[in-house]
Amino acid sequence: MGNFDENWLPHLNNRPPGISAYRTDIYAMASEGWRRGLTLKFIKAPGYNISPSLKYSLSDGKKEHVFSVARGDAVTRDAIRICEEKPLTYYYLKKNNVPIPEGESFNDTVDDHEIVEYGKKLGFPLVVKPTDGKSGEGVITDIKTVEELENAVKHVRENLNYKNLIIERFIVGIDYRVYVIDGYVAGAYKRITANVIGDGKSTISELIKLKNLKRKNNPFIKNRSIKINQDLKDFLKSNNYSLTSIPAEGKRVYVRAHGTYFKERDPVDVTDDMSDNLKQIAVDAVAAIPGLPHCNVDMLINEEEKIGFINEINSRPQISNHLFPMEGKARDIPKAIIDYYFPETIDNAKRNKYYFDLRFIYETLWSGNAKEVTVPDVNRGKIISKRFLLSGVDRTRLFDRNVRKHAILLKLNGYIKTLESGNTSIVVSGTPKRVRQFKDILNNQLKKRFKIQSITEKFSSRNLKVGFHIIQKKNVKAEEMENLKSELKKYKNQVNKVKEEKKQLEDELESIKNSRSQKITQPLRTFRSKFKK
Amino acid sequence: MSNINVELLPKLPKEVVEGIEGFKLDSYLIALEGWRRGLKLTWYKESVSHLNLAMKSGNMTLGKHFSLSSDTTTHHFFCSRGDKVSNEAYRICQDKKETQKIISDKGIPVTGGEQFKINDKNIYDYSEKIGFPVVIKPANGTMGRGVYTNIKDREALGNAIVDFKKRYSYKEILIEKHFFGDEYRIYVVGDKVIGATNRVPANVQGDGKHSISELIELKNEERLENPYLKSKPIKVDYEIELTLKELGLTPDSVPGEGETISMRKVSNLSAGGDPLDFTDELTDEVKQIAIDGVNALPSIPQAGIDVIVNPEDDKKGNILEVNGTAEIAFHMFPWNGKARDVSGAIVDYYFPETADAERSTWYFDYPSVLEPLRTSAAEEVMIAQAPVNTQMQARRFVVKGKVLRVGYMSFIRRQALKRNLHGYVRKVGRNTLEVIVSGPDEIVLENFKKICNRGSKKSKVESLEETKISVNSKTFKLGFQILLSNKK
Repeated sequence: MGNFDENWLPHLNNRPPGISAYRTDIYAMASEGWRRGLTLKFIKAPGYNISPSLKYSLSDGKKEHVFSVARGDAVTRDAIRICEEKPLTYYYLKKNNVPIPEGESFNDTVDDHEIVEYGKKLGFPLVVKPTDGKSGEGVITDIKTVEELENAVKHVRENLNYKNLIIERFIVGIDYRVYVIDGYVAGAYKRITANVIGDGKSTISELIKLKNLKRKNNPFIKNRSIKINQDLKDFLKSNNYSLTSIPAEGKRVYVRAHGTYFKERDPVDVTDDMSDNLKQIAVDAVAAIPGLPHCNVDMLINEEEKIGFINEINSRPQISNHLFPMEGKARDIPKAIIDYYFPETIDNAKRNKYYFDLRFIYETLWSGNAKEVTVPDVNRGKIISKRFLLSGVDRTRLFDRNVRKHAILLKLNGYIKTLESGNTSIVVSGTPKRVRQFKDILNNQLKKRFKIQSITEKFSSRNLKVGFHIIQKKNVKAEEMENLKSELKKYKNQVNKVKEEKKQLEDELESIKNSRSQKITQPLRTFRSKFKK
Repeated sequence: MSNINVELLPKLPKEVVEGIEGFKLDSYLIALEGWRRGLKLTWYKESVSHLNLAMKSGNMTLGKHFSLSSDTTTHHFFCSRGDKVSNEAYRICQDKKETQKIISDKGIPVTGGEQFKINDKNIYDYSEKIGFPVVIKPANGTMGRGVYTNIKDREALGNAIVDFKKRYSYKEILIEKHFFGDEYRIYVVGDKVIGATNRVPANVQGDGKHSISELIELKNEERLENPYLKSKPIKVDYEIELTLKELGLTPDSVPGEGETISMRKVSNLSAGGDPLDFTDELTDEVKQIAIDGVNALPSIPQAGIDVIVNPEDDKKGNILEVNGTAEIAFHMFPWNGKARDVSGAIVDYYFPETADAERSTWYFDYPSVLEPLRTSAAEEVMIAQAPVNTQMQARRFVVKGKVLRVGYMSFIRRQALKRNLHGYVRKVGRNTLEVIVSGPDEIVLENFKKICNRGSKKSKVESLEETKISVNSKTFKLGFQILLSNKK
């Protein structure tokens, strides 16, 4: 898992592998409820075009709540609809005097000319965006002239095929995401333009590399590296930097123009820095929408003037940036949400140390065979874990199965695997009584039957995957094969790179040959080369 | 005995039960039947606390414990036994002596017998009293383990007991009079006999050309074709060699044409016996004995009951025992005769409202559904609803071009699953793939066709030929598979 930022929530370090993007949110939410002892069930949602099509429910035996990512069923259908349609959102916000950027929405019956006229009246700078666009697509900001406005309207309507659009005043500000639940702000982060912070030693190019390593380590943005391209070089140049500049220690250098390359931005926690006035705007906005007890509010905040506007309300937001900020403290949004739905579990301090295999469950549902998968409940009382080191035992299929059978019948979690020393390690975790029973079975029944030479007992403090798992000995040959394959891939990539470079150099060479100065000086060079001989 | 006269159930082609054996097959057959009628099907992991069906300790329940639910009721099953069989009845059936006493008290003929401690000397006098030949068997055994038949006198009885003590750890045995005549396993649901099977000891039929060991090999090959018998080949062991010796034969002897060589005394199917359907041949009187026998026990609406039919009068029979968790698969996959739809009758009994429900012909990937349950990664897995054939459409695409080894098949699978489409893709020739796909919505299928035509990043589709096919022409499996082999 690499390094886990000390500002993040320790229990989320213990995630199953293969969980990224929105599944991080699902895992964080579902495990929060499950670890409190609620029954967790994953459900394949009907319909093929719903993404993500995985829902889950949490139940305490009396009441059950269904969630879609971080949105629970206390959010009404009407509220979801209001949030999805920006004109409706704005209608409710305006009615309740929540500040929004001044503007108007237009449907397909209004022609471009009329829209541009409205824009002129509103005054520049302006923003044009599709009414039902998603995740920033087609948003054109900082429009300063009539010509730019005409082009923007045309682009959104014709190229992007969004006929309905919104025009509003462009607010110079920073993007804030504020999580509101039950009338208070549970967390807020802002996204700042891609940047690096100098250490007085490294070049910008090196700092970007380091930054990308840090991003790779972040479960949510790990696939979004800062790419060094011409735009970046040009931007640095316009600020009198280059890739080889060495910024002073602590100096923050932006590597992208503000408002570009959204995916390369950094989430930075600002929960403690945000003023109460601004927090109140977010809370008021959520209160303005009927049937919306928790959601994320997108705000545009001008930090100098300390004013803020609501940009959008997201009823099914991503919460990972609250959990894994690049700077600042993580905010436990899942805790706040589960507290809200199951207040009687707030004090369930004894949370288990297990995790469940979300990827496996996801694959089971995804394969089309299963509709619902329930995660096993685990004991939240006193739990102990023990490791048994077995020497001289032949791990046959029969032996593995016997061990698993006894573990499962005793409701123990754990695994069996072979250590590098050749010894077999069995880890079991459960109530002290059951672990003791398992030990007895091991010492009395299995020892004789499978001719185990010795059994050493140790405590184990590892976090465990729920269930009892047989971890196969790694086939040495298969492993070698894997290594060779990955090496081959590496070499192939290198060859491709070299080929590309070669082509580039050849092109350059060609252009040099053809350049005029070369042609003019050709006789001279020929003469000189003869002279050299 | 050859199996040329077998008539199997059309709803259960081989691929539907592929790779499922033993008691899991019984569970699966009932689960599948209920699911195909639109009931909700859920499988459970090992040893869940809410399984209220009694069973022997240490019994593994994975793949055998499931529930079926309609909107109003839920029934749990363990193997073939549903929760309408009371735990009391199940307990009684475990005890052959008690079972016979209850049945006999109602005036229904049983084989009788008495229970003894294995070392009790009274065994011999009792045997004299009921008259030789006698049978000894464990008081609470199953699967024909430790059953010694046709013991003719005191000396043979002594030898049998010595052998029994050597091989088995049972302390209590039953002594019964040996009744001659064929033993039938009769499956009763409610007050109806659904199937009756004569289990014939392992045998081969001579052709005048092959030796016995060759005939066994040929027969085992034939048994592979039967989903139930597949995992139960005839194995030449000490007993078979002994029987052959008694007949004056060796494995190398060549029996004459049409000559049947019976090679064991026990008729266990797991020891290579043949299940022959006898439902239509059994007399109504014997059927009534079976029904009355089951009904004599408290609350057991489904059971397999063993009856020995009198060889002199086929209207008479004696009940041996009742099985609460009887196997049903051999009634549904007999070696010879007509397959009997026991799973259908059981689901009819538990969910009578589904008797006329439209049946899906789909099936689901049972082994892969069990995987997360096996490791306890999941507590329960509910199967996706069975598609109703009349609401589904199917297409066949033949795709030609650069489609192999370019990630095309995985791409197609992903796209199909995303749209909840079922089917498979397989290689049918050089640069040629066949895609079979089914779904409820014409527009979605059309859309999927476009995607097949467009292909993945590295692929290049040259042509796509489309045929509409009937959903009923194939047995569809839930999900979308990449079939690797060219076979089938």
